[in-house]
Formats: sequence, structure tokens, C-alpha cells
Amino acid sequence: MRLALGILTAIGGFLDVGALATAGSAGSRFGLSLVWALLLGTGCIILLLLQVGRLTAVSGRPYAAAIREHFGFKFFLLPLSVELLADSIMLAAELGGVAVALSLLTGISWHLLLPVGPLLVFALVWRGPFRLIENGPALLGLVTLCFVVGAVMVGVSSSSRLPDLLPARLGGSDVPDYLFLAAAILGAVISPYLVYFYSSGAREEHWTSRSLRTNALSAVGGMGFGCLTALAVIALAAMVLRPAHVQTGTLAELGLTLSAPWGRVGAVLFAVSLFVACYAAAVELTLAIPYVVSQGFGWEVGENHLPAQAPRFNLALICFVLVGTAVALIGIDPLQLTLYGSALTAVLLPVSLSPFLVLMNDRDALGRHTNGWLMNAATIGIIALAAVVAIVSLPLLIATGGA
Amino acid sequence: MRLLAPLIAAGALTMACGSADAQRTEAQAAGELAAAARTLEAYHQDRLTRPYAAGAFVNYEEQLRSLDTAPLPADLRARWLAARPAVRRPCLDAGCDWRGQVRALDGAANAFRSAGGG
Amino acid sequence: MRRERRSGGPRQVMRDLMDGELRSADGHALGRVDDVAAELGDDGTLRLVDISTGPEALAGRVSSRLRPAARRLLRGRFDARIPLADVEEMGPTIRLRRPAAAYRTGRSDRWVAEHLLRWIPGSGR
Repeated sequence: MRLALGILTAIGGFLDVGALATAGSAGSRFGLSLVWALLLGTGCIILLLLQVGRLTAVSGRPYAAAIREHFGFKFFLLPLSVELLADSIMLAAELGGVAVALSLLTGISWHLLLPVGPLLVFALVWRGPFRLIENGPALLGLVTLCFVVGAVMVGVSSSSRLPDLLPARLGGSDVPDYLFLAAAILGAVISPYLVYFYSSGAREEHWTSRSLRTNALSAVGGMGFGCLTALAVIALAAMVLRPAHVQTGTLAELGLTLSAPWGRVGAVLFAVSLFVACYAAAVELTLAIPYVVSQGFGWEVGENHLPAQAPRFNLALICFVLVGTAVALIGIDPLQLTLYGSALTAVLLPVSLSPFLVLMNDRDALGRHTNGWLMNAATIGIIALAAVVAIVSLPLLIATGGA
Repeated sequence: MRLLAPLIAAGALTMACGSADAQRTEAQAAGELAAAARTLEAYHQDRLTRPYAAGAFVNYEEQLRSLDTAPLPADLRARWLAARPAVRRPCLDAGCDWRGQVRALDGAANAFRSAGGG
Repeated sequence: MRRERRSGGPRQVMRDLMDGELRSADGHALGRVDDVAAELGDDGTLRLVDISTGPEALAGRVSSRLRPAARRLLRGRFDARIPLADVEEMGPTIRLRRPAAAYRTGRSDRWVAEHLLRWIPGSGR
């Protein structure tokens, strides 16, 4: 099931607590008027994954390895530090999301349930072969289709018309929040850890230059699926929460959107979807960092080895899970933590993405598979967008205090 | 002397953030109170499971806790105190006055929303 | 896989050697080329002597001021030098002539496996 790599990357990396939080906040506060940010972000991540998939398939080098080999160790420290910082926060947010999901299913406070997430993540990544890690959460992730179905059902039965879903004008105090959410959406969707995980997965799957069609299907299909579900979340929040003046300050409120069409079943579906999305993302994040570190330092990697055969890789994995758990245990609400983490990712994007332009034009590595002018132009555009978002996000983060 | 301009700018920005902060706190509180009201209502209309409502209210209580110490005008504080029992001990059993709680939550939500410029 | 070099002739040290992945003859990852030592001969020629790998070498790459501090801290326990004669093939992957056990660089991995991971069930030790 080679397609599963894209689907897992989508469900784990796309529809995670970040996408849910930003989509829910965007829909409940600004209706459909931030859909452009979601679509823009999706386009960017698809293009990035297409490229990095091709890079790894043709050159045999995952992204982190390619960065070190091409730019040297000193430069490599930059994307490495950036990933460690941003992903520690995001892992904590995902683990928090898992805890909240479990609390909605059990009624127990999410603080008490926090340790469950790391244990479940660890159980899968410690011994699970890559195939299981890919296919398991991916299959479970199909449950998130409930958002799409729910949005259609609510849309059909709702009295709100399309023009009602677009706010007439933005008040003065709304503008910073609007821009902050736009930046957070971009940061949540264009996540560098997705790029690292996807390329590591391509390596684990032994992609070659014959795998380029799989690459295209995975990237487009997977991210497209994730985008569709996130769009549904925006629509649901716009149709159900906005009229009720609920602003999605917590993840639990988002579940009200599914209880509208389906009652109790809807609430359970939401909690299960939240669990699956956050769990899959936590698994990806938990693997992405050890991959980056191990590839960068030349250690044995791999989910297809026993832990003792790739000791430092697994040690890095354990350390990272502990760090993420520690941050989660501080107790910051996962939705708030997510908004911070996504904005931080947005600020640091240019560092993570800048190597693309050079790597994708390296004839020695890619032969005839280097970028065409169109892809190069698009990549320049993406990096420019990332720079603009970065410059704008930091003061916004301070000014809005996380919206 | 050259440091003065950036310092003044930083000071102005902080002050602007400060006053925007109060409005933001009120707007956010309004959202959470509305969410609490809708959740309680949905539970009693059999559209939510009990664990869901219980788990959700843990989050609402945490988000609204800061109102206890935030500087609020008298009328908002009164509204908050009226709604607080509902947030801390939402009535999830059959024989309690859940409608009264929803009213208190909605009243507080509306008051905070007007104050927050919603 | 990675394309073969098109011609023989002089190698580019930074491109073909530095930061390249080290693999033993039996296919194990041994780290990366973290530094390269060269010797200036009496006849004026510069000769590459050996490859360094390990945290002290890396510290030196980041800043020359870090190298003495790293040496004091780590005392050469995690660093290794591999003579250039051991290099069978150069490229992004540097293949060495001998199996993994013949090199010191695998020590960290074995140490971690034996002393840390053994306490976790299912590690395969």
C-alpha cells in the first residue's frame, strides 16, 4: 500500500491539532474568509513534498542528509535547531490533543490522561515496522471523513447561505487576529516536519526514480485529502459555531459542530477523529526528529531495524518523546499551545525551506530530474511567502498573545 | 539618545497591547461562556454524551479561571460570579436547574461580548 | 541510487569527502566524515592523511575555539580517525574496506545499546 505514505503524512501531518485548531478558530471567528490561507498552504506543501520525494527517490538521500552533505555541518545546525525547537512544542501540543480526545471519551480530566499519549506513541514506534506505522494510523484516519460528511449534512440543512458565511468587514481590532490566524494556518499546514518525515519514509520504502508517479499520487492525494477535511472543519465552524458566538478557544467546542447533525454519535466521532489525527501526528513528529538527527550525524536509522540495531536513532527517539511529554505536562491548553507552535513554525519556515532551491537544481544528485523553471519559480514564491509570513508573524504573535 | 526612539515605540506598542488585551480577554471569555452554555444545553437535549460534557467543562473552567483575578468592571464581575457555579459545577444530572445555569452562562456571555466590542 | 561520477581524475574534497556518509564493508553506518586531516609535505605537496569523525571534530568545524574545550570534556572517547587508505570508494557514501567491527566509530552505538536500551523491553538485545 504505497499510497499510504501520502495518506499517513496527510492525516498525521496535515490534519493534526494544528490544522484543527486553526481551521476551527478561523471558521468560528471569520467564517469562510480564511479559506484562501488553507488552499495556499496546501498548494505549497504539495509542491514541497513533490520535490523532496523526487529528491529522495532519485538521489537516495533524505532531506536532512542532503542538507548536511551539500551545505556542511555548520549550516545543518540551523535547520536542526529550528526543528528541535518547533517540533518539541508541536509534539507537546499533539500529545495534549490526544489527552483532550481521551478526556472527551472518558470524562476524566485531560491532565490526568496526558501520560497515555506518549505510551501509545512509544508502543507503536518502538517495535513497529514502518509499514505498520504507515498503514495503521492511515486506515484509522479515514474516520476523519466524518468532518466532510458532517459539513455537507449541516450545509444542506442549514439556513445560513454562502454570503452569510463571509463576514462583511473586519473591525480594527480584528485585523491582527485575522492576520495571526492566516499565519498560523500557513504554519500549521506548511510544516517542515512533514517534509522530513515524508522524505525519510521515501527512503524507508526504497523509492527510486521509478517511484515518481507514486510520489505524485501520495503528495497530491494525501495532502488533498487532508485539505478537504480541514476545509470541512472551517465550514462546520462557520455554520455551527459562529452564529452561536463560540470562538473555538478549546478543542472540545469544536465537537459541537458534529453533534449538530449527529447528536451523541457526532460527539463521539469528533473525539475519535481528534484522537486519531493527534496520535498520527505525534507518531510522525516522534519519528521526524530522530530521522533528522540520525541522518545528519550518519547514524544507523530505521524503523525496519530492531532498536538495538539502530541504538542512537532510538535513543534520540526516547529523548524526544520525553522532552515533548515534559512540555505537555506543563499543562498549557493544547489549542493555545498549538497556535503558538504554528506561529513559531511560520516564523522559522524560511530556514527550513531555503535549501530547496539549491538541492533541487543539483545535477549531480538528480540528473535529468532537476527542477524545471516553473517549479523553481514556484519554490522561490514559497520561500518568499515564508519570509513574509515570518516577518509578519513575530510581532503578531506578541500583539495578539496567541489570538 | 538614539535608543530613545525605539524605546518609546516599544512602550507605545506595549501600552496598545495592554488596552487591546482587556478587550481581547473579554471577547475570549464571551466565547468560552457561550461554548459552555451550548455544551450544557446540548447535553440536556441528548446531543452529547456525559463524558464529553464533563471533559469539555474541565477545559472551559481552565480557560475562564483567569477571570477571578482579572480587573473587570462591576457589572461584568457580577455576571461572571453568577455564571461561575455553572462553569465549576455544571449540572449534568436529571433533577437540577440546568436551564438556570444556561441562562446565567448566556447572560454572562452576552455581557462580555458587548464589553469586548463583539 | 546516486549517480556514478562521470570521470576519474582529481576529487573535490568538500563535495566528495566532507560530510559524506561512512559505510563499512558489511553495510553498517559509521557516521559521517566530520573532518579531514592533511599534511604539508617537504616537497610542498598537500597530502590528505586521514578522516576524523566524532563530536570533537564537529566542534572544531563549528568554531576553532570549541575544539580545545571539546577535547578537555570528551578526551577523545568518541572520536575516531580513519586512514585514507581504508577508503574504497568516494562519493556521497564513503565505502570503507573493512567490516564495522574493525572501526572504533561503532562504539557509541554499541555503548548505547548495551547500557541504555537494554533496560527497555523489546529492544532486541
